[in-house]
Amino acid sequence: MILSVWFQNKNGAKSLRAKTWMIMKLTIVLMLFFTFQVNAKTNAQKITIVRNNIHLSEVFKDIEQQTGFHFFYDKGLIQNTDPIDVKLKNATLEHALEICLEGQQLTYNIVKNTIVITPEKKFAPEVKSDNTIALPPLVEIHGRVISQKGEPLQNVSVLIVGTKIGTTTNSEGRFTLTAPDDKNVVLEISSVGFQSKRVNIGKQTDINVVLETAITGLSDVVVVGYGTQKKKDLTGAIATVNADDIKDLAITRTDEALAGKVAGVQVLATTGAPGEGVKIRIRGVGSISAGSDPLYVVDGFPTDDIQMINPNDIETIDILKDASATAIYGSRGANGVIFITTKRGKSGKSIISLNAYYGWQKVSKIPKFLSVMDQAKYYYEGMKNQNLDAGKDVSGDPLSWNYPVPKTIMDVVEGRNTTNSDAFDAIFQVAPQQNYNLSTRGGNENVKYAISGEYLNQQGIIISTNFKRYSLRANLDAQLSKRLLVRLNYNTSYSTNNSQTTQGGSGGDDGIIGAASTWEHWYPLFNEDGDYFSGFGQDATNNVRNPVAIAKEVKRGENTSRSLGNLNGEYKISDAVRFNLMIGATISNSHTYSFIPNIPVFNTVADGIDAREDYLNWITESTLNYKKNFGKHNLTGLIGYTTQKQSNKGNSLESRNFPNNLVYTLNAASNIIYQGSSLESEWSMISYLARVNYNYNSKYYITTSLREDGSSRFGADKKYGIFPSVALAWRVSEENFLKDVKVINDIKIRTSYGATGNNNIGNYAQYANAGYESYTFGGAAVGGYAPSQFANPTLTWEKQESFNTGVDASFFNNRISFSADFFRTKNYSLLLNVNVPLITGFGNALENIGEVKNTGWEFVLNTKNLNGKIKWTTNFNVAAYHNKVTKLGPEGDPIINTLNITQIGQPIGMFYGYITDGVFMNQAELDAGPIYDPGASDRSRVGDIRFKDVSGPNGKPDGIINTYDLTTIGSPYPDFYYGMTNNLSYRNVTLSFTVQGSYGNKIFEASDAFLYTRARYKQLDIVKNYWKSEADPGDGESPRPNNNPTGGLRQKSTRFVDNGAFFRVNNISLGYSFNNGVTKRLSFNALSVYITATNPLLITKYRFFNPEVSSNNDALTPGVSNYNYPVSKSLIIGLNISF
Amino acid sequence: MKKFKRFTILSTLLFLIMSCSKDFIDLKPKSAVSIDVLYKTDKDFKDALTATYNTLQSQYQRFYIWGDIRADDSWQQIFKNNSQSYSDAFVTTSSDGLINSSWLNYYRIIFRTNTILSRIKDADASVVKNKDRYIGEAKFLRAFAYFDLVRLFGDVPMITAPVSIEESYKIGRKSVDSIYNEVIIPDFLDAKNKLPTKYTGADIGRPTKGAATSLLGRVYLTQKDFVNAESTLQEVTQMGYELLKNYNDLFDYTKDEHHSEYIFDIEYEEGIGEGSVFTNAFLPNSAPLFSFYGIGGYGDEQNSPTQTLIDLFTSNDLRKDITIGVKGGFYNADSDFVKLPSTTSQTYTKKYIVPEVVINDSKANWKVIRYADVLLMLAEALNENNKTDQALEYLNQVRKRAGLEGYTGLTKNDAREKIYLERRLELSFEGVRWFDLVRTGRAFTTMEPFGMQQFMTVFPLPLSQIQLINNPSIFPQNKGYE
Repeated sequence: MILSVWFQNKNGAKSLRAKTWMIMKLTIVLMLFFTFQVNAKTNAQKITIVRNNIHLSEVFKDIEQQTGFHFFYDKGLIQNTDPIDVKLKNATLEHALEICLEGQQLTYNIVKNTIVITPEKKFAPEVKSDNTIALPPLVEIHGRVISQKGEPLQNVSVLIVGTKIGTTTNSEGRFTLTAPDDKNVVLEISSVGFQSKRVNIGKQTDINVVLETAITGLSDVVVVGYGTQKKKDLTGAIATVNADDIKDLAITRTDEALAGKVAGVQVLATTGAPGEGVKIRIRGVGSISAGSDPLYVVDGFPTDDIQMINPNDIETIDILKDASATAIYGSRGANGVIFITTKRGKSGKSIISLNAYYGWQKVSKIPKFLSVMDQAKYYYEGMKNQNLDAGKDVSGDPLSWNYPVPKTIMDVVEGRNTTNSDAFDAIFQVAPQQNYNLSTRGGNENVKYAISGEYLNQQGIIISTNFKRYSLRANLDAQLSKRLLVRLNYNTSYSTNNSQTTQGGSGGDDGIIGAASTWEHWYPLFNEDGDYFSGFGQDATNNVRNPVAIAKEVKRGENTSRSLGNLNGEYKISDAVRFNLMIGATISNSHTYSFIPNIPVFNTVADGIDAREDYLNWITESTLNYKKNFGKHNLTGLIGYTTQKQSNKGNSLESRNFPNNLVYTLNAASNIIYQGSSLESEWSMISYLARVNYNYNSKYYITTSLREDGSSRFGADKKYGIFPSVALAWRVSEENFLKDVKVINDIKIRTSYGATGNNNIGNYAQYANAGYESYTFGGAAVGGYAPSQFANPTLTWEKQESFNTGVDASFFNNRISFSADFFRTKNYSLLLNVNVPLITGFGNALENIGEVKNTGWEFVLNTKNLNGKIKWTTNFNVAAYHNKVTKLGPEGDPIINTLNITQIGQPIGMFYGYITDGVFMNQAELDAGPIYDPGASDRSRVGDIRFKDVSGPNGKPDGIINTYDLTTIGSPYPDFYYGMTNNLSYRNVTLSFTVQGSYGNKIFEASDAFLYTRARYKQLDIVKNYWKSEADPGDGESPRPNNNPTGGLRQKSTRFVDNGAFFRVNNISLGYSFNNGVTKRLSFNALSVYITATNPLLITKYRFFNPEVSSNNDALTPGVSNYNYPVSKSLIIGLNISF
Repeated sequence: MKKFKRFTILSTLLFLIMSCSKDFIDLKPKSAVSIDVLYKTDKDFKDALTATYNTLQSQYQRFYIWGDIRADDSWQQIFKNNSQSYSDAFVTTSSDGLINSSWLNYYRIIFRTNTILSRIKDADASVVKNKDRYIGEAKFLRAFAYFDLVRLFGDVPMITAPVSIEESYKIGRKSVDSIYNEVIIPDFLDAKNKLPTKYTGADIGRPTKGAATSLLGRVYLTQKDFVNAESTLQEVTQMGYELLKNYNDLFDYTKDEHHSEYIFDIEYEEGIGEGSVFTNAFLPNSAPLFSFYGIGGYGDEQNSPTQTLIDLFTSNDLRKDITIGVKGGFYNADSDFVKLPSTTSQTYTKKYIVPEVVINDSKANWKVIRYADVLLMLAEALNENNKTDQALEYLNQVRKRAGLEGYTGLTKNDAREKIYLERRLELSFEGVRWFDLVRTGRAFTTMEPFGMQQFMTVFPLPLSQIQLINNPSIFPQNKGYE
């Protein structure tokens, strides 16, 4: 029956794909049948072994296979035992063990499903009746092993050095051992993932041991797509950030944790608005219009939004950078993949932890403006120059010049108006930030849990902005049987965000930074009666909304609730084969609203918007994992099948008919709606994946993967795409000629090649849809439709091919380790809105046509500088990439977006404008030119800015400044960027700090382009030393003030391009953990306190708020600053308690 | 163990369910519909036409830049470096954004009407009940777009059916005359036959027979075909139109704009996302002025009367007060004179003043053609056909309404001058002056002092298109703009 269904499916499908289909389905279904078989066996739990002359280890393996129990023993214990003959039929486990261990001086212990083999107690006092044996007296040693965080560690090996005597810890981390009563006895305590420790027990019989997490353990496990791998076995470029790296940082979002930590990952804090994300670029920018954000995978669930994830819940963040690692994510892997793994329960006594912090944030940097008097004089001079330019007389009363100086300005200049308001001071605040996180972890071998709840309240540094998040997470692991493990991840959260429009605005709208930046000093913010002072209709300012009124009267916000849950069943079919089924879903509801009241200082009607959006995103994922070692050949494999679908629904309503300002919801608008719309959209994808990892003796590695994606976003002729990858690695250090070189711990050379894609090309972009447009007939609006785009059945994902080669090495007992990577990627078939002749009725059509190349390198150095009482480790990373557009539309035309240009041969979105060349200092210089707009009323004059004559109509400089002279005037990309983290500890004190920086990038200050031109606008203080006369020409950079600027002053030029290089201390964190004694008295397991300073130091020449600013996420317009929300610096005091 | 079996069965089922849906990734838009299922019913064609009018609405928001600012009666005093000032100062370049967007808008109208015409051709008239009328509307719109195109750009590509991207690279420019003879005139003639004389209720605002006839008259006049112009415009006088008694009522937007003098407007309406910019665009940026008139937002002061125009009006001309506001200020409710800020435009027209709640959401329509214009055109055609006395009758109808004495006993040449003058007084800020100057061959002599060169009777073609097609033999730039 099942087969017939498949064959039906096959009809009409392409043959190759159908074949793959069939094979995959058959394999999985066969595996499932196989599962039944194995089940039957396990149920009986009887052991049958008939073998002669067999080594104990072989017997153990047989028993493991037949029962699913694991053996735990010291290999040394049994390696010298003699081979035995075994003849067991349907024996019980206990019986089998007794038979096998008979006469071997070994005994066993069954703890749940683990069989622990230990020596028979030779030292047992009851061995002999007479007490004459010359053995040292024996004592029983009790102890407990815990982690740095105070959590008990289970299954830790405890061994008396120089003997075979040892044991393991139980679920409470406790162990008991009988040892010779000798003060020289040393215990070696070791566990995977922790640094081994030797303890001289001396006279103690009750010892507590704290194990520290291994720092660069090659045995660390790293998350790769659809599985994990040991770090030493990696063949791709993958970086990891651990919970320990981010604790005490008081970050509010998970993505902030990556700042400065990972080579090749740019984490740009483009805005300081509470709750807003950072912009992450992994290895540069490869797409022009489909977005460059990485794919996030949270506990196996691919998503693009991680705002709701509580950073306290993070166990590790793994970043997949090269295509051999990302190709398993196929058409979504081109921008890199970031895995977020949350903390899971551990067996042992439950531990309850409370992390709490409280802090204060403050704006990090404020631009400097001219003083009120200088500004007024500047204004005055500007009016004077406007009159002079127009040939008007300026000898009389300035108030009655042809272009009169406003009275307000004369009042300031002549001392009658001494108002000096500071709009920034009025809208910025010292903003508190607090976070409380209560979590518990624990469980037994069968059921483990991790539950956490969080409350975050971050006030914004702009008054009336804030972000609050309430979140809850439950991670549950249940070993339902020896073979079936079920994992549940559930995360639900609710957040509220009160915001303000920050970006843009400098006039009559509600961009608050724009309003505060342009608010003239000489106007107060409040009238004497306490009302807001109006920025409209005043004589000496452009119309501007009162920034304090914006902050206090405009309501803007978003409430979001989101739940993400996934359930993963892992069925162990055999030791080698596991089947995983994951189903999961995200549900999100968000509500956005705004209300601008009708108050005189806003000069507008009331306006209320209410918008809601919800989506459901679900996924299913079936994978079959295979893992087997054949002697020195180690093989792991994976095949899988996954489907995912998202459905979005949203609506928005706007009204402007509020009778008063008392109620901001739209019911107050008497059902009169100004605009309303609702939208639905969906996308879905279906994928098949396979991967094989092989290594020989952990020396030679090959990894190869293949994924096929089908997506609803692709055109009918391009529904499916295949994404292969291959990677090779060679652990040189395992070769004989290096094996014995003591200083070398590990050297691995790896190289990879792979293909990935970017499917963020929009839903339904391939169809010729009707667009809706309206007209008015009979006084009413009437709807209509027209074709909105050309159909493109060949529309497809953007493709990336990437080549990576790298080396990982560590030396001197892992004291020094480094990684270096070189990469080269080609992104092609980039989606571009290609211009088409307008006579078609359309301006452009979407085509897969562009091409961008990135080359770059990354270098990471980890050192353990001090390893004694004072421990000091350093992680340094530096990276660079070069981005080059190699193909654009059919004509290769550059894409110009006002301030940015994207053209062949250059990086995407370079700044575009005129190059300034000082100021025309005198008439002779002016005569020499080149002149802007010669002959016109706004031609260059003495004291005006001089531009470089770059070109002319014939491709040569022509002595005139016009559009031919527009050129590339700066790069938004750094030459290189770097980060460094230092961790120091001494006894109970830890100190860590991270610094970060970039060099060589520029910022286009679109805010300046407004401010920095007409004399009537508020000026930055850099113009202070402006050109006044030929005798007093100023700094040679700042032109004369003019209220009607001439000489092209308002044209985009290098005047507005600012240096974006910076060096910043991201954070300094000082922690103190209280001694056991103190914590015990308080009946805590552990208690630590910390103080963290975030962004305490910023060194930059940048003029405005934030050197990492970028106004939007559009690849074509990077690095543009436009009155964005400033970033903050903060001081946080925190507390971690566990009990 | 039961659990495993259940798990396995569940997994198998899930797997099958998931893989069985063959069209899992074949998703069609939910909030949009493919055009293939449209253009079928009567309503479909009506809706398709509505969206075409929408393009007209966008295009005519800035029509004053050509019709008025480019000529001598209006200018842009304050702002520099925008399409308005370039047009004003005769420095419009081929890269001007307005040139590009206009080219797109007109060809978008042509594309949409071509699509409608190609699809309605085979439509069953029993299903598409208003088939004839829709063809008439589509042809009216197409002729309308081409008429503007040839007047603005001269020779342009002539397209009468939807074209593919590939084809569009190969379509060259066609002479103005061919376009008149092959599209504009036949289309207006067909529209004239197919359109009703009047609409009611929810259809008011669509072009009528009168609109098609009047515009056809304007076409003939532009072609200097005075004979056809005369007969065509004469038809209009028989259609029941008459001048409003009071000139000011033409610009009283609180009253119905579809009065006896109305022939065809670009329709705008406030408060429903259909507003026009004219109220804000033409007024000085003065908060007191705005609050006096109850207008939201601020003034863009882009279309201000020149002194030349102001001086043309005699003090007894009833049109003066609404055409031109008091220089440098306005009289408030207490009849006190309130000065405009010195940095703003000192002159302004009151023709588009209407209280509005939100900036650029005015209910003021753009008058494409009204009966007074028809009368003046008819007068002009008659005069050119040596029927000066008859011409003066029509001219005097317009003068009388303005409270002025009628002309008598003028020579043909004097009459011509008076008709030209009357058009300025009657129709200023209604987008006709520049085209009058060009069609009567007086553009260069009149505008030379303002920087006009002889070739500037047409505008440059969009640079983007010259570069994109990149083939001077198919798609050359207009002379003087290369």
